[in-house]
Amino acid sequence: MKSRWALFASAATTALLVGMAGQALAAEWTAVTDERLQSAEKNADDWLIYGRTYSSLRYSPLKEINTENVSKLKPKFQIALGSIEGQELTPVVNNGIMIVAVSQERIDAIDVKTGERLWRHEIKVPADATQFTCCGKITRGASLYGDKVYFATLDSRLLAIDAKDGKLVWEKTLADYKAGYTLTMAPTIVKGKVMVGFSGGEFGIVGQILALDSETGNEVWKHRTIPQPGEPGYDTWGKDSAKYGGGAAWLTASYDAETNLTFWGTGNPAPWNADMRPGDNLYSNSLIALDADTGKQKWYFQHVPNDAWDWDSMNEALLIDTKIKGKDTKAVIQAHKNGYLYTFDRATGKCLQTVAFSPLDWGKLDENCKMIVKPDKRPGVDKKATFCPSYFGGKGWAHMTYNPENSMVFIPTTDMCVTLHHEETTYKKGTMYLGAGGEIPEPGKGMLTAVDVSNNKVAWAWNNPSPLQSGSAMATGGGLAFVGTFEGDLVALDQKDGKELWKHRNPSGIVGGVISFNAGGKQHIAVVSGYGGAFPLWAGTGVPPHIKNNVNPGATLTVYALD
Amino acid sequence: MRNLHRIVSAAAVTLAGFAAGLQSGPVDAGTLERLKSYGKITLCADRDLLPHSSSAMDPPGFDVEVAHEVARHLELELGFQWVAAFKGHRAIRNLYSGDCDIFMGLPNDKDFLKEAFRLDVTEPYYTGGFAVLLSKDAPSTNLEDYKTKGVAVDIMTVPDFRLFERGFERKLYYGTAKVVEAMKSGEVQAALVPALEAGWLAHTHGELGLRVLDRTEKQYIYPMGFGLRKKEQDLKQAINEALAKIEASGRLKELREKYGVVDLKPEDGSTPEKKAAVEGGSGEKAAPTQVAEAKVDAAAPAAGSAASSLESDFPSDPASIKKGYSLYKQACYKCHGPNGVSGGTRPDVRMFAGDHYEMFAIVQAGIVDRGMPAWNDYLTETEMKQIVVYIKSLPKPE
Ligand code: HEC
Repeated sequence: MKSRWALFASAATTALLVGMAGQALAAEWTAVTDERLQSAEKNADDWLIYGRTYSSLRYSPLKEINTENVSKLKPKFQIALGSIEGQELTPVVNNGIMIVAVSQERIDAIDVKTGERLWRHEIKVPADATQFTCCGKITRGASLYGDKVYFATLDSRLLAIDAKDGKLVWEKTLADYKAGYTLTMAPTIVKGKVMVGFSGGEFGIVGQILALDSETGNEVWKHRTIPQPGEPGYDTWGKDSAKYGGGAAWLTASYDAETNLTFWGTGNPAPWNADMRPGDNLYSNSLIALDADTGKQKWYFQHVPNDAWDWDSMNEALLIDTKIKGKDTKAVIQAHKNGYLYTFDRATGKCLQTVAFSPLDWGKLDENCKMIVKPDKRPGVDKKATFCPSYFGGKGWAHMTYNPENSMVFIPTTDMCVTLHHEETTYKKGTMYLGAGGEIPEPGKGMLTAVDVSNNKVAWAWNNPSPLQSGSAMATGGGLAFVGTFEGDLVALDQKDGKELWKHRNPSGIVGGVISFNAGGKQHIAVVSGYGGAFPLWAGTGVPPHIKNNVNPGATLTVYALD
Repeated sequence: MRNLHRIVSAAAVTLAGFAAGLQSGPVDAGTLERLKSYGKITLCADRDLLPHSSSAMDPPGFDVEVAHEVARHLELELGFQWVAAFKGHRAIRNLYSGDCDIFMGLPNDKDFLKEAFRLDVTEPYYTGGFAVLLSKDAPSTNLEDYKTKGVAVDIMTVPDFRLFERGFERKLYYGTAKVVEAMKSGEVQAALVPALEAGWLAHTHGELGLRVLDRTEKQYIYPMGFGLRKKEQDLKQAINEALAKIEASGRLKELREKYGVVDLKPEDGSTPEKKAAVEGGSGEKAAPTQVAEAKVDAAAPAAGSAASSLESDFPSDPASIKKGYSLYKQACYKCHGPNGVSGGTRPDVRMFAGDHYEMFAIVQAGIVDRGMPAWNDYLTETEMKQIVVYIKSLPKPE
């Protein structure tokens, strides 16, 4: 009896202390409200959203760590996460609690001040799920809303997890993963709707975006990216090809509260063999703007009609307000696999300007932003073409970052070419629907390319011996641009000129996003290393030997701070 | 090399590659002394694979009881390391790495020992191997009569490979229990499966009226002993002595009877057919009356029948290779890389150490819990062979 009382007494005191000292004592979950999400720009302490803000800028205004003192940045703690899968996630941080989705294996909640784990949620994905996906057991991360953590599984379930203890609240199966419908994105969550788009463009799926009620998981709306018989645009799919037409919208969307629009990039049409689907193949390889409440498509822009290169337009759309051609503009910018950075009007989708940011040889965009392709650069059936950028893109899915203070965007860039040809293929459930083959003639290289959007010019490029294909960048208020490399280096560059100011070698390659937040009154930087994902699987001879021979998989969270 | 696969459910496909990387060490004479100082000898055994072993100890299983007797003679306590024997390579790895001292039911077979050259196997405690299992309504006891209809086998076991070579249609299952389920549902009528497990399952599923034949082709029969680390010859010696004593005392025979272990006998054309079904449900708890039966067919084809050759099993004409190339892109490219060139995080298939048959077996069954899919449900046998032929046609990296 005595001990029970003792326990009670100490619990009471702790409660009291917590009450008095607030978060100084224990990391506590604070509800992630619509208001906090919509004003994330102004709250530099947290990293609540995949792209930090709904505008997906990946810009942290924090400036305690800056160009002057970054050379003193040091790891504060490192945690082995126990996985050898690729770690493509961007962690999120709410009031000192970091949510880390370790590939498709588990979700950890970590107290960022102490490195202690608060809870762990084991994700159970069937062993055969990797058969139906392109790039391993990857995820881009978990998303936060209210008092829950939302996670999309590879086998196409949505999990709602209690953010306080990691217990599953509910789960919902959304599609048949054995037909190639898989989920790898961090959900976009807006006003009580959890939105996800399926991956599977290489498996002959029909691209779909779902909005689900955040409380029940019930479907609110569904948007197909590829029109089916009777729908407008169906006539852009010859030979009955819309049935397995691809067009997967497989990355997290941006959201603009003013227009209530969500912005999604759609992926390649399927199969890669363009002759099997004559026509423009709407709305594959497009940027589409959907109403957040209804899923209705407000506008679209198709970058690559009748794609023959696997040049997806899946890339994230950044919502920026800046001067374009001297005029204040509410714009969307998107860097494309084809090597161009596009700027659009946010409300109408009108293409305003373009600039090449990566080496390319296929041709150019005309003044209407249409591709003018040299004939020998378009592969065909039994017609080989060598072109740059390769199907990994001048910009792969690694996210770029934009600093609204100086209108500069920093683009992780891949410099690599491919020789490709097309061939006949047939749809076969559970296998890939490609109809193409090829070879990468030389190992790829990479750079972080800086473009000043206000004058639409490349400002500088920092070179790296391997592609920056997968590690997302982050700009900070301290004048720094951070990015992770396959070598495992987390690098900090000067936004002004691209000069390398600091780097730290992680235990494995970095294929995920770097973040920054404030905890205990100090700015922190964090990244999860763990080589994997599409590049080592798909690039073959494109993988630089120093990466192939020296980089081991293995996931580690590293959190940095100044002393 | 393929003949060695899964002589027991234990010796799995990666064993060869694994063993090859190790050096055989010097002989260590102090093993018994070391074990005596702990007072314990540890057995690696499957947690749930009757009649071999069961961690529930109700009954403990044939292997466990024999091991108990041996331990008693060695004046040691018996400890357990429970493993999944289906993942035999890992179990054997446990032995290599010292998690346990003995692993039972390994074949005392020259070819096997050549491959697993860091292991040694004691004198046999029973004669095991693969027996013909027939459903109640199976029309014939001659395996040859099921050549086109299909014979069920445990995937990647010796019969899987041998029947494949002989041009049999095989139906592949994971484990003997799955084969029995398939017999129950009428999917298959004949199987060639590990004798001991077949006898046990026939017994415990008495209502199915399954029959296990105690005659089998010679090539499917193996003397089964205790596996141990090769350098521990003094332990091998001591176990052999203990086994001799247990055999002489009649205890081993008692245990064989308790678990229905009928020693397999080689087929012999002169033996007339007998009709004795295995009727289960004898009432005694752990005592299946195994089976008995007859062999019928004197004319079973000799092993390695002339009809089978690499080229006939895996035609490597340009059209097959081209088809294999397309299929490779559909099924394999996304993990193993364009044109077989791995980017480093998955095995480079051009470097695969085994032959066509071994690669085929892996493609069919996958290594599912390690991310290599099983393709049996998605590709036909011909397609899988075409992929194998394509991969084998690729130039090896220097
Ligand atoms: C989803 C990814 C994936 C796909 C698709 C895939 N594999 Fe594998 N494969 C693996 C992994 C992972 C391993 C290694 C498993 C292990 O660690 O034991 C492997 C191992 C192998 C091995 C053994 C290699 C060795 O040296 O031990 C062969 C052979 C093989 N795969 C062939 C194929 C073929 C042929 C295909 C197409 C029909 C294919 N694989 C499709 C992932 C894949």
